[in-house]
Amino acid sequence: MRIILITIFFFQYLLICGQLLNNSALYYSDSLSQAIQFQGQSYIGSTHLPMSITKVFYRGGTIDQQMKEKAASRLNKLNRVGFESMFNISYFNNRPVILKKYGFYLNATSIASLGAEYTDDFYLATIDGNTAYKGEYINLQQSGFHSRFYNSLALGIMNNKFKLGICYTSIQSEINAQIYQGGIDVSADATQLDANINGYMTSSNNSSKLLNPFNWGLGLNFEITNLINKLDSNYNSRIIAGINGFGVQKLTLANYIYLDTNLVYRGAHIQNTSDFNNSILPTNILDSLNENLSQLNFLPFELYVHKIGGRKSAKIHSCYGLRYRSLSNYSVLIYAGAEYHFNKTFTMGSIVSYGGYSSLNQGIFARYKSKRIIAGLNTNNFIGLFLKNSRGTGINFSMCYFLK
Amino acid sequence: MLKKVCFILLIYTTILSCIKNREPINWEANYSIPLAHGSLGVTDIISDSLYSINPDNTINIHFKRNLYQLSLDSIVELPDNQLSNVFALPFPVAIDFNPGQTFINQPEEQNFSINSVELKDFSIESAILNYTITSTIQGEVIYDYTVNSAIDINGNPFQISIVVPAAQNGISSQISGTINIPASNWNLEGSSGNEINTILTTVNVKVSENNLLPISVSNLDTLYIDNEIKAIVPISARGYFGEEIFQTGLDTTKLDFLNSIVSGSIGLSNIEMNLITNNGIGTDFRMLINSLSSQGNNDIDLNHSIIGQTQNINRAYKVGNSIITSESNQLINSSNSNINAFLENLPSDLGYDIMVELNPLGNVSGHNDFIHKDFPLNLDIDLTTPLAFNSNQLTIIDTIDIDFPDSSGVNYGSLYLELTNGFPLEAEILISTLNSPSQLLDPALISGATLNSNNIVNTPTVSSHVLNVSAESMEEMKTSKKIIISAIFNTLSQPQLVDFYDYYNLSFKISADFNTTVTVP
Repeated sequence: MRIILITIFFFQYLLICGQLLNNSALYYSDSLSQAIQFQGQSYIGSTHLPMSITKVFYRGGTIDQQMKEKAASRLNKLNRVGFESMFNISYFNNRPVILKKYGFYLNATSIASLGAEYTDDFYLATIDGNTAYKGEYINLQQSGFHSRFYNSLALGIMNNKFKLGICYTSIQSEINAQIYQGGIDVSADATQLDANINGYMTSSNNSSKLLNPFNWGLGLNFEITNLINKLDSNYNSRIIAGINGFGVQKLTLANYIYLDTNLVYRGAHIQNTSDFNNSILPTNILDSLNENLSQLNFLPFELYVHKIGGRKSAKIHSCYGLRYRSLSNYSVLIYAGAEYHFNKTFTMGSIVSYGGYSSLNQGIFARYKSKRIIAGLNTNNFIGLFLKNSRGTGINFSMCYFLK
Repeated sequence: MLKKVCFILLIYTTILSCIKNREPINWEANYSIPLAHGSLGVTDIISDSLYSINPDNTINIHFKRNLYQLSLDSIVELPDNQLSNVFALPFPVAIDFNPGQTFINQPEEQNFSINSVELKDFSIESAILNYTITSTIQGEVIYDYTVNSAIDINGNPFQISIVVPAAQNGISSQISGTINIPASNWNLEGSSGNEINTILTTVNVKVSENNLLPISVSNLDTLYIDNEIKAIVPISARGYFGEEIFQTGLDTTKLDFLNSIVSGSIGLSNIEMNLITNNGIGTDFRMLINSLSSQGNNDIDLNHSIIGQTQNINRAYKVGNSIITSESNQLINSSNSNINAFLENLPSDLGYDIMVELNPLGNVSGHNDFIHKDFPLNLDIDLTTPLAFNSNQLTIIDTIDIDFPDSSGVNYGSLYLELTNGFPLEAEILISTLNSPSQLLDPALISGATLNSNNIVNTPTVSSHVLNVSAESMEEMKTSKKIIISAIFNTLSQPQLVDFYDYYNLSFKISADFNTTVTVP
């Protein structure tokens, strides 16, 4: 068994991706009375874009032909790229202070998220241009993107088995766009572009205030912890499953464009020599479809299931789970891995994951555990930091400080 | 431990701040887009005022241009006028005047200098009055100046009131300033009503109410007043404008639309040119056109009976306040002149030598000549020709300004033109950058439509052309911001004249393939 796991560890390093998971240090606490937890994480990744391109997205610079070719060689019918960054601070009090049964927790979180899902045609027509599509169809179906910045406050009750809370979310900015169906027909001589689009775009009223008065969300946070082999005290393995932000959001007077139309563009229509002075782009089309309206929608939620722990005396524990973020151009992410306990205080591990914004990913992590502190550093991006052709990079830091 | 946490948070924050301060993202891509489509006929190219359609759908071209104009500014010049007064007070002994008491009240008639013109009245849009007043009086006085002849639109005379400070310790006080004179009518007939170039003014000087005590004035006190009326913008004038001769000498006016033609020839027919004299001035004129020449490939003088022959031009007259202009017309056509050769010479300039004599019979109106700025004497040419011609290697070269914004990012590319030519005209279009002779358009020849036996278009001709702009050419165009276009036109069925109909047109589709550097800020 050990040989198999070591082999898995070894080959995981040959893979070139990494992706972030919601690894909370608190999960590894054997007993909880009061604690403060800090957690920060950032991740950027793609199903096909090499890090050399992804880095250009956040550092700026030039995307050269070699990068483009590498990205194109990994294209699927549907592709993703995304960035998420989160920081939160929480206070947990597990003593039965509410109804003599439940403890409580408080949490403040700031989340930035940017993601896109697109067809191979969409990518190639944008990055390489549409010249190669003369006489062909650029399929845009299911392409979409989002950009989001939320601040949220959560308050809830808890015990050793579950947490249940309500969270208020201030939506600082939100842009969502989706093409349900459609594409662009490029005539063979490029004298006509025929776009058939069914989709929408919503853009919120942005605010620089800490709490945006125009846009808010209200949701439930729920987490359940179920011990496996609970009758055997030699085991601490458990399943932790939860959902964050399951609720509704209100966007006040958001700019909304809905398209369900066929647009034929043949360039500027010239009927008089003075028409040559006109713009060649039909500026009035989008204007006419614009409207400002208030919307009540589902709040994007996060769903997760983690299996952690094992036989207490064992040096190696397995871990696996899944994660999903709704309305975020995100696919279900599944992962599995193992961790090695060097001693009671220090643990290292590695996981392989698939999904999310990326495809096959690999990450390593280290955890320090003492009576008062559990701190974890997840270097999911470890390989991504060094290999330009890897497809993701990220960092996750989590620290839990136990109060007396 | 806290230090470690802070250190990690610092790294995290630094990563985020890097994202905010990133450079623009850019990459190269090849795009193909439609640029334009449509069709253009003759009537789409020419301004509505320049053509008319005949019942048989042929087109007449009209061209009107002013050749000569004599306006108010040329005939009545209202120069700056200096109007000065010196008041040495006529009191041999010092007399005390109480606050508010007037001690000078002097109406005056003053000559308003207007060169050789004798005016009874004029009206102005505006003028400026500059004044300088010097006083030796040992007290503050109020100077009121009224131009009784200048009546504004409300019926009030122009008037100013100026506080002149007291002289101090034997040193004169001085005040000067500028006042705008509003739109007004100026009567120059003086107090008798029979004068010319005479205005009536009144000067009043009184002791200011600000003096607490009476002030003492004697013949040792003096008030110097300098008024200058300048920057007069006239609207109209009435009087006798004198006898004067205006001569243009040999002069030219450009015909811009023919300026670009560098070689070749055209054949025209049934040209009519009217020389129209329109006189809005209430004076008689005598006009002599010494010469009218076409300055193009050669210099060709117009041969017509009007050349060298004096024409009498009647004066305009008024009905109420309306001015009725006097108009006369001389028709010049191929049967009474060499107008065909005159225009087939493709003149870039029209040369002329014109003499106009004002009031050749003297002051026959009894100082009732009139002129208004909106009613000058005009000599216009009004040309009408059927759009029927032949052109043989008619070559037009023009330098076109183009402006590629730096942000366009276009590196190189090709324009594709699909043309359906419904004109009985073939054209060879040569397009090049300013410093390179290589031709960008391929093929350069746009064939003309095919004609039937009546020289009417039977079938339009379809052709495809590519305008290739290499990276070097694009760079050169971005630098020079110019391209040179040379077009050589030949009508079909030479040497017969070909009629152009209003339904002839050129249909086109233009698309572009281009390599561009996309920049995302």
